[in-house]
Amino acid sequence: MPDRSIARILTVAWREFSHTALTKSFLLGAVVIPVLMLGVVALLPLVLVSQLQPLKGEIAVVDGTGRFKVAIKTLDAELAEETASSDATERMRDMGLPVDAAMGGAAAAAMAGAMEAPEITVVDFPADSDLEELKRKARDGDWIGVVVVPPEQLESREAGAGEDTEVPEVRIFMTTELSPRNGEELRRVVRDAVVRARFDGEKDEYARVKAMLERPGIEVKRLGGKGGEADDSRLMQIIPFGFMMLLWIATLTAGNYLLTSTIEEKSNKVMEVILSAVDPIELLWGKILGLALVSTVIVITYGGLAIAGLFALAMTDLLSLGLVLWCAVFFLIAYFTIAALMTAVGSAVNDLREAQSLIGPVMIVLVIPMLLGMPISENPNGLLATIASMTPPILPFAMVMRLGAATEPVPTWQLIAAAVIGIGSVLALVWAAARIFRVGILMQGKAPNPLELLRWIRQA
Amino acid sequence: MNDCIELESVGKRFGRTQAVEDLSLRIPMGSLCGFLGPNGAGKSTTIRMIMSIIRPDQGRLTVLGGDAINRKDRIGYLPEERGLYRRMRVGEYLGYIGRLKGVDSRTLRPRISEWLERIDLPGSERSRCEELSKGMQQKVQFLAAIIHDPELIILDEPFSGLDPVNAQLLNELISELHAEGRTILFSTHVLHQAERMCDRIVLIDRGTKVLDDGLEEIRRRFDPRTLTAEPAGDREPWRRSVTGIPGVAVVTDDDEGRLRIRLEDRADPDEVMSACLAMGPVRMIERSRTSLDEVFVSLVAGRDDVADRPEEVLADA
Repeated sequence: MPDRSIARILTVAWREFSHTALTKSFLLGAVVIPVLMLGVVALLPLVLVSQLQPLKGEIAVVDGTGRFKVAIKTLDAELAEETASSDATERMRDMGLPVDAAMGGAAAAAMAGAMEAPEITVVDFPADSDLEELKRKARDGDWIGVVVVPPEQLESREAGAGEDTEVPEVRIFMTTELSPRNGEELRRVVRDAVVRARFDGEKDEYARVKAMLERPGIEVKRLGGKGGEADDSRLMQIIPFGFMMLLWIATLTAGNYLLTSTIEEKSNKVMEVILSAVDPIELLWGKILGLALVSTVIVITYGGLAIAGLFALAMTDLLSLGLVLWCAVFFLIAYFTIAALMTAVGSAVNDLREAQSLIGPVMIVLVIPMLLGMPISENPNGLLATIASMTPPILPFAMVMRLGAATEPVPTWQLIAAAVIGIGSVLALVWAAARIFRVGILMQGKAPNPLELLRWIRQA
Repeated sequence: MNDCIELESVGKRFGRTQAVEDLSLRIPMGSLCGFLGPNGAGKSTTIRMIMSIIRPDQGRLTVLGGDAINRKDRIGYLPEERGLYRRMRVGEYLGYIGRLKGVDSRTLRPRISEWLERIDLPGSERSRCEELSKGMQQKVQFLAAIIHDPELIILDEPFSGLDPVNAQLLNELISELHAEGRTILFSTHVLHQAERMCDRIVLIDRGTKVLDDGLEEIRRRFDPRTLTAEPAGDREPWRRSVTGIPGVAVVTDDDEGRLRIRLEDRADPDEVMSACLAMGPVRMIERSRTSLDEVFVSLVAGRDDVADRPEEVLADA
């Protein structure tokens, strides 16, 4: 290709990039807002921590036996000791706080560090106390709640016993001021105290039984066909979909810019001026390459945020250089597929409304990978996933889902075959798009139907 | 003289419409050529083929000694359907077009300021194109066609939509560019403008060439061989006397109360004029000159009714 031709393509590409990506609206929508959102997600737990109120206060307990009070006192001391030593995530779970991967280990540690163990003191009342009077006092702020413990609940239990007899429930009356989380924690403390009181009544060793009931930690490994092992992770269920969505957003956003910029040049009647300086194919390539840069910016922004997230969660072992490189290959295939379709449609129509009718069928096809998300992540090396990842134009989207999902790597021959099919289909699509573009950009009047587009491809 | 543009049997068809048919023409280097024709004649199609925006179906086309596609940087083009990037700034737009035409940014910056000053838009580099009036936008579009200092300038209906002041300014700029030695081809409906500016006229109708010559040759070819006179004394005796002069075919009245003396083919106009003066005093007597309008009408209206052509053909061509 002559130097002047390359220079013209690069000039067009730079204009397309700068007028799309170096604008306030793009920087705000595609870069600043995602970064801010990540910041908010990262800071949210810390904000939550700052608002946490530890469960502290007195409760009135109606318990004729007096054993509940003793049990809760012991429990309180144990909880204080656990708080100082136990695992942060575990404690959060104990305290009724949501613990998920998105929060990240650092955030969880910060939260747990900021939390205090409950401090509950018990004022004991006999079984025949006036419950209404106690509740009134609780309303007046004397206690944070009133707990009624039927003596039957504190009695010893035998396996299989008590199934036929109905035991009255423990009742808790808590004030409205108590936060939902504190209410949940109070409920948990009361439950634990009742169980402990039962053990105390039998002089049994609660700590020993509790230790016996402790569920073991389990390390799960996936066994590879070639003797390798890989960590198992629940994130594997969402990573493939995340890969596909990243590809979808990056390529569709840039494709949409490509569509609107082509339509704008037609409707502003600036197209012929540009064509007096460049060949239609140079213009087409300039536009496609310029918006490829835009798409890359989007991938880097969102992908970078995702990788930062994996670093924060210490889950970078889910990524490998090979995976990233293959994803880059399929990103390019996806982008050029969408770009060719969008430029062809943009050049053939006069406005966005006309474009919708031609884009509709294309979008229906491109939504298929989303519908295949679950089946592919369930069985990433299955027949459906294999066929989908070899079928243009959904091929790159399906393949990145397989790459992200496969606990067992996608066979190399399949990756190469998909890349070859993808590149072949891209070349065919760009060739057809160039022919439609050459005819369409100077065409005014009624928008063509798909059959006319085929005629343009033959004629150009 | 070398030819700047050379078309040999060029043809272009859109569907069932033959927009240009077997068109051959040569535009000499350095000429200012008017490209005329009724609506739908194929002017814009021919210009687009010269610009290599569309390809001819047949024939050979040479621009500046080669294929136009490799000479875009040396050609300036103002299309009939012209627009601007609405949100782009004027300086940015002209810079973009200039860079596409191979001029580096450092050269372009002062050139843009200088030209904007010359078209009465000084300091408008930072204005967005959409902020300019229609007339201002048209001047910016004209600048986009010449900002890279082209050797050949092709202007498709450059005067359409311009007010008289801006039309005059454009007229002067075109003449100036021509005086600098550039070849200029422009299509227009404003025939008197073409007549005033051009040294060569190409007239096409329905895709075929009907006239291609220098302006003086056209005037000679279409000489009406008529004298126009206004007698100072009695009109009827003078008319009778003139009718009897050898070489005078017929004497008629025109719309403005003057006499039109039609000459026989072999008559010498100067001799007849001297004989007329000898017949009595006259307020004025002159050889009538053919206007381009008359040539246009005689050549085009003589063919089929222009108005009968389907609209789509006109739009396409």
